[in-house]
Amino acid sequence: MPFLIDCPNCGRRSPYEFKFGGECKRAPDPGADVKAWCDYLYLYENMSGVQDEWWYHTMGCRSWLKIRRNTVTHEIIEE
Amino acid sequence: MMTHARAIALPGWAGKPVETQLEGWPVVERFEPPEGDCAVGLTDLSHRPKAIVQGAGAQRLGLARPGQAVWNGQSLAGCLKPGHAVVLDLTGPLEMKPADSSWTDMTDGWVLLGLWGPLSLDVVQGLVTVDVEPRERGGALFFATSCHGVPVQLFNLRAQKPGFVISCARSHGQNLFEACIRAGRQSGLKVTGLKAYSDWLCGPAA
Repeated sequence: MPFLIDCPNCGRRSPYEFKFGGECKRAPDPGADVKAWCDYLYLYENMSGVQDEWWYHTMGCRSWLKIRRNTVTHEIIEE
Repeated sequence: MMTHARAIALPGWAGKPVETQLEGWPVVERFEPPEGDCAVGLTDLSHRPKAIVQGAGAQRLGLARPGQAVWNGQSLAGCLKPGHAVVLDLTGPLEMKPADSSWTDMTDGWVLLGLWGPLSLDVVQGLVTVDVEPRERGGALFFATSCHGVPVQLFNLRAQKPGFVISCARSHGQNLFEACIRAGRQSGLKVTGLKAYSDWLCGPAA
């Protein structure tokens, strides 16, 4: 993975220190039907381009962080 | 309490360990024949008290930002993230007396290795991928990072002489110990007992 992730606690680190936490998605309203929750839990955009993602710094500060990454170029646009 | 079964297995070339008991902990005092001077010493300090401190206890340590560490000549405290700190006691009594419930005793859960000596920086940089001696930062430093895929906590003491302590979960302790030996092979690393480490840290006992 040719990129580094800038952790606000630990600084610039290899992505191998992190666990990918999936796309950032908006949770359905509490009263939403089962299909909406099922889609939220199991379906992903898996898009080719810029997306917001969760990453967990498993081997560092054990914190979750949100980054905006281009999944084609691995460029991190915003952290 | 650590037992011989859970202690780190020492390499045969380290010499014959002269063991002793420190408040119930089996520790290696020195090796026979004596280790002598070495460019890098590797010492098992797993019997030393270790703790994770959270909340109010962490705030009392006075660590302002992650990565910052304090070495007062007896204990090390490093800031993991706001409100979380790692504390290692290197010279005080072995019985830990937590100030309050914000402490989690990790003495049994983590191994602790001391890497010290003139070439210790070379060995540590062979273990982790972060810059452990950044020129722009002063004082003792703390790093939470990985070594061969194992989460480790690393302190750069930045005392008068180069020295580091590195800890990880006890289940990975033997692997970390052997990784240190491999990284230090070219630098003349020697496995030493507690006496050599104490002499380095506090000066030779009178």
